[in-house]
Amino acid sequence: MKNKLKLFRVAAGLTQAELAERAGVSRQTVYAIEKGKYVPSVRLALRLAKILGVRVEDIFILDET
Amino acid sequence: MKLLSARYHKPALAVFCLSLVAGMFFLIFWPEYDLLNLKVPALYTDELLQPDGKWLVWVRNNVLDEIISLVLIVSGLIVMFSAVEEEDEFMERLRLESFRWAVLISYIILMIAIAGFYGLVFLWVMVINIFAVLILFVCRFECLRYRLKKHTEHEK
Repeated sequence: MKNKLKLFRVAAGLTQAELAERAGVSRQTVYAIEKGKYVPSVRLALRLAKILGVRVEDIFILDET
Repeated sequence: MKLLSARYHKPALAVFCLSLVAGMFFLIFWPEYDLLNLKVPALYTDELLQPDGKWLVWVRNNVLDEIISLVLIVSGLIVMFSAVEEEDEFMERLRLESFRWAVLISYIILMIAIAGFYGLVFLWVMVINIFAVLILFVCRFECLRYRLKKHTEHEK
């Protein structure tokens, strides 16, 4: 699973800490998602998409290979 | 799974580290304090090399090793089952992964002990392996948390 979370977060002018606070998770979680080390739950993915004003499938891309 | 409050995590971790040091001290120096030679209730007891044991009796025993072991286990379990400050779904996954890893390594140690250690030294490895899951879990989980914290400090 690839993701463009960092791209959308920077575009929204948010720091990791700010996004984490709004999403109700730790900064470590946002870091881990951005680095591709953690695939979030559907609930968190939807929350992140809502905060960033985009669709979930814009942020998270299923790796076809 | 519902976890204990995060306020228990750090004190339990401190007690766990202290009791681990005390446990190693005990294994190396085998100290005996008269004060701790007590009559304690036993579910079952037998003398070395004698097959006839007794159920539900009082025995005289130096309880230092029992105290250290129980404190180590209870504090380790509290560390394992208490939330951390930054608790969320990712921490839950780290906890589960650390537990899986600890169980795997513990059984690898056990397999090596079964296949490669004979005589009294095997019993020593078994005694240490009793605590292996807890020790390995705490080390792994806390290391992962520390590394994550360090990495995120460098990120904007």
